[in-house]
Amino acid sequence: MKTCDKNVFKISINIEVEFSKNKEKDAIMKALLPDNINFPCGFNLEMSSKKNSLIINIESTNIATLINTTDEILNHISIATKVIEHD
Amino acid sequence: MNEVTKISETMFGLGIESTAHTFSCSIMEYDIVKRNGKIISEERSIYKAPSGSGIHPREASRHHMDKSPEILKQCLKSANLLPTKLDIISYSAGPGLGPCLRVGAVIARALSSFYCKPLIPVNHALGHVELGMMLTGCNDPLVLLVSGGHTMILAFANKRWRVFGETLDLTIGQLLDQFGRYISLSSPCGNKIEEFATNSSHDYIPLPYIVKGNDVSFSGLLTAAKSNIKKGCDIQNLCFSIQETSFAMLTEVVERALSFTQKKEVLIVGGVSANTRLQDMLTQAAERQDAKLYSCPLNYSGDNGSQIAWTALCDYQSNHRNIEIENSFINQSWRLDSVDVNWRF
Repeated sequence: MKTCDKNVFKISINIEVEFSKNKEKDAIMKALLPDNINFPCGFNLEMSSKKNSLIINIESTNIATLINTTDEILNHISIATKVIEHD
Repeated sequence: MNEVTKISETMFGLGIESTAHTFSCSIMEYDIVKRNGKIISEERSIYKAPSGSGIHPREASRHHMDKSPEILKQCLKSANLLPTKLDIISYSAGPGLGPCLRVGAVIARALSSFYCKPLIPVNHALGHVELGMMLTGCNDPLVLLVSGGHTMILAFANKRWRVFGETLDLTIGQLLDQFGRYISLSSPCGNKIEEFATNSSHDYIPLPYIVKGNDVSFSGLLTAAKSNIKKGCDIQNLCFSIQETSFAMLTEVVERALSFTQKKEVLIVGGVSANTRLQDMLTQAAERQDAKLYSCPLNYSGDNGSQIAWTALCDYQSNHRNIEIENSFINQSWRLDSVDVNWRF
């Protein structure tokens, strides 16, 4: 994690989203990963998977950035899930 | 890049547009033998900013997130197709607003991954030009791209659309919208400004006319127009004067580019191409240069999914290459003149 000031406190959020199918989880993780680039100083985001779950860890020194990013990621998961519901 | 061999004579492509205020999905059919296309279905939803306000990227992206599942579902239903029957998935990768672009990209990637379909990123500006050419049937035009995001004069040479002139600051759409919002109109303001101009007494109020080389500049014009409002000038005559000044600037640079390139076709695309006064001025300029003006049909002059679907189908047919999902980018300032156009000679 890039930090601008080592004395600044960090806040983190851990999210686990469980899917009914492994294929669905893989598609959504693939859809989200390419945008996880060019993070600002003091921010970090990691995604991994465990069985049918998508694990997301977000760390930031800025509470507003943390909230906005979490909100956007959860919304992206929601729309990605809805658009592949045709199957 | 993957290589995929197609044996069918037709292809179905899904295009997802989400660069700014419009979220749109379109399914187009491409005839591989005849090299032409047909719009099978298209659905759109447009974010409306509050009166007097401009587009807010995060609010627009929320609109797209709310509307996108239903828009896609309706688009597939109208085309009577299941996602499994699509041959390619495409999305507008830029230029545009980051939060809005990410919505379209996430949807396209999810569909591409889940249904194992080739994924094609498309330059939004290129989409305007290519769809305009397909719909009007012109072959080798000088293009004027005028919208909220673009003001460019383009001509094709050596595999790319080359810029023969562009704005140095505001786009023509930004000029009209920013002035419109200043007089409390709702974005997009172009239609209302055209209506005010038409209904005015046509008393011209002098405004800065700035052409540098073959580029235009609208920021001084906007500042002067706003200051004329404070002085109590008639709003309808100001709308008339803004149109006359800015469109004359565009017409001058288009006519100069026509004279230089000796093109016999002019194509006008983008949301502002719907303006009849601009079309009139360009028609006269084209006639003076022994050329013909083509205008993108009104329903497709603004942002739409078909521009993405059509450009992606042309691109994919030219090289059968798609992008790996992990490399599928968005680029908020992706320039049109950096894109190789392999299907055009």
